[in-house]
Amino acid sequence: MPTPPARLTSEDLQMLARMAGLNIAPEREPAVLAELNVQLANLQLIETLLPAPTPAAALPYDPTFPIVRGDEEPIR
Amino acid sequence: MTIDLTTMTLREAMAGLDAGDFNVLELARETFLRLRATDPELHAWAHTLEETALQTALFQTRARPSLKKRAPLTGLPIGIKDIFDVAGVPTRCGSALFADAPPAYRDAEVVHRLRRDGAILMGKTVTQEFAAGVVSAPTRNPWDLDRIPGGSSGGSAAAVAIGSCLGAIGSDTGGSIRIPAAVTGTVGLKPTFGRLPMSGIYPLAPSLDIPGPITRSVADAVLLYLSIANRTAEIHQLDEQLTPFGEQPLSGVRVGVLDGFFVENIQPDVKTAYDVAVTELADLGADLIPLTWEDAAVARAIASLINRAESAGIHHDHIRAEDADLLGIEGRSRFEAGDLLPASAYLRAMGAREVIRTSIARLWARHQVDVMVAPAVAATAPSAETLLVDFPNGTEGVGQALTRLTMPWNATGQPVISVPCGFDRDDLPIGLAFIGKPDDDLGICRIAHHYEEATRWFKRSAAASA
Repeated sequence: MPTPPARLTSEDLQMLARMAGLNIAPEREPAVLAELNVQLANLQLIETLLPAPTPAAALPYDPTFPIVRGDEEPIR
Repeated sequence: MTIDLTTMTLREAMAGLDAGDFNVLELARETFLRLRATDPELHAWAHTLEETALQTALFQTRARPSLKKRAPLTGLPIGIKDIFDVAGVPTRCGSALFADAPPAYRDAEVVHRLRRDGAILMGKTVTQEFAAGVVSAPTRNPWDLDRIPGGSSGGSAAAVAIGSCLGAIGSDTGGSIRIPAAVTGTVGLKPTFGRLPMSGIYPLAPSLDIPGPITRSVADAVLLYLSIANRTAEIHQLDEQLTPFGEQPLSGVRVGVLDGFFVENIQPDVKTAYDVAVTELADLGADLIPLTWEDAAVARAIASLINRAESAGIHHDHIRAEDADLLGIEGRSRFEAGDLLPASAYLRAMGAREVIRTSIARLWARHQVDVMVAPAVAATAPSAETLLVDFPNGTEGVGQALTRLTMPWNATGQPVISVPCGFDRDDLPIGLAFIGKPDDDLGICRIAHHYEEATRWFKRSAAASA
């Protein structure tokens, strides 16, 4: 059962806008907030469709496939 | 000379030119006369190209006999949505932010193909700002000037419906071809995503955007589609593309009739028209298969979120610019909200889109249908004053109301054509959507053509209402 979508408040919006470098004037705030909340509700709906993450150990593994790790010397 | 632009189709214009009933210059002049007579009230045109169009028409009048084989659209007057580049003309995208845009250096590729095939460019049609919305102000609906023409290709659809051009090009990201087509009584084809060039078209959401034709008939839509798809040679075999399926026009065609999400909480007159249209399809020989696509609501959510996130990326600099106040409030709010979505939300939606594409492919495979049908849009043209739509379960804003049934098909990328299927109690047009498998653009047009020929809704003229 998905949790109900979180609804952002005016204060949340202004904080996010400051972080993003956006200037959202008070008269436009309701429209932006409404649109953002619609999209967060959409995201909640989308999450119902996506499978839960599969533990890596359960994934099929091909032993002939090289594992690439970032901490090793690159192949030259 | 008889040129009745209130009902003439592109194919009828071609036949008239071939028969010598009128020549290219006479057709172009008559079309500009119609434009000047109707546009003071309709406002479908952002920029007209009368001088160059008439010069081209004069040349083509003399040259058409030798041109028409390799340039089969010779002499046909076409409108171009003002997000497409036309060489020498500014692309203003319906935005004050682009009021001083310089003339485009070259044609968008699809415009180039139309021009190469002989089309006469009448001008640029009005778009919702940056193609982000469904109102298309200041354009009004030819069936009722107090109502909107839908959008974002509202100018293209209104111009075709009133006869100030005989065909037009629009673009579709969340329904921007099909919505205005449905609410103006015209035909709108959203081709399969990714199969047509986007160069020279101002983007909205690049993983959803697709150009396509808006016309008076399905055959006309095929005509323009073949040109912009670089399949000009096939235009000469148009009749072969649209042959009947058997003894009856739709004999043996398996039609998936969508219910559930597609008929819940839609306007009652739209539902009635849909039910009648389905009966008519059966009368034409089609086999009907009732279908429910359980993931349609999620598909809509996916398309909406991707649309907002990608358009915010396109307009990142515009919403932070010193002159950002020149943006309209609707577009700016959408772009800002999209800008504030976390990157993970976009990536989750992109991941879910793959699940959705598999979901619809499985439904298709399970029922082995040739086409699916659904109401194109949940409502008829809304009031330009209130911008609200009444449904059985309450009132919605126009954006949500008009895109509800169109966006799922942007998530899947399938081809869809909207065709007139009746009128509501206020004499406003209603659209029927034919949805196809990816790359079956001509297949759905063939089926829709026979429905259209049997019902003839497309021959009702908006001119009587305007």
